[in-house]
Amino acid sequence: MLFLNLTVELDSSNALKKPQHQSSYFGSIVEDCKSFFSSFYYLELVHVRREANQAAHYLAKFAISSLTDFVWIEETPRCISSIVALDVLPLFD
Amino acid sequence: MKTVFFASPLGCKFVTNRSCPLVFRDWLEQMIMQKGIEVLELILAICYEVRKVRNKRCFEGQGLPTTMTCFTTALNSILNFNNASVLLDHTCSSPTQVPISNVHWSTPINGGYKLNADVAGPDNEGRWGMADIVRDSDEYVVGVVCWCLPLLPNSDIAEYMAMLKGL
Repeated sequence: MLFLNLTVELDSSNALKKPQHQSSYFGSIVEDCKSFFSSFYYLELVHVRREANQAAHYLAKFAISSLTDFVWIEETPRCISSIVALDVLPLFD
Repeated sequence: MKTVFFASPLGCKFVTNRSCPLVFRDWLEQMIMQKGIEVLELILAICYEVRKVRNKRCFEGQGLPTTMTCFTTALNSILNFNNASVLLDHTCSSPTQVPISNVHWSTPINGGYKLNADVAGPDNEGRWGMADIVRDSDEYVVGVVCWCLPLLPNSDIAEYMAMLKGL
């Protein structure tokens, strides 16, 4: 599968800043990420508030408790199905 | 010889007259009525330090520091507090602009995809949980991946690893 047009959202503002003290370990991960960037037609990295990143947040918590790796293709895991449903609702102020 | 209040330059005479000793309450009242703000700052800071030392002694079983240490800590906390309020004043009058971030998930632009990545942890055993979720512009979930890793140095690295795996 090829995502030509992708927006990446993170809720850590540190990860989007230029790393200040570049340990070789951290640097190599950043370089690995960069090597992927060129394969996209359009790629945008943005910072979002934690509230906008709930699905990923809860899934990460689930990952700790489950101790196993999971991959779902074209289906929503039950643990975040309600959050995904909430995300697509329009925002009421 | 001069009686002083906890090594500070504040003089205090709690027992001037043996028949009628000055109690702390009265002395404090006098100070509040007569002295300026700096003196009150100092009294309050010293009282706070004395209380802190007392709590450390009672609840954590720690030894007592010298009176001078207590006084210096009190002075430092006044200084820190004043500096902090200057900083607060400064940030209030000329706030640094922070880029506006989304507070609610939004659908990616037409034909595009959106990847949300996040990490959680570490838990008591030092394990990190990472997750990526990719959705398309029709709001369908295209792919989801989550996994657990032990021993990462910090959350920045974890965030990047989550992004890397997602890509």
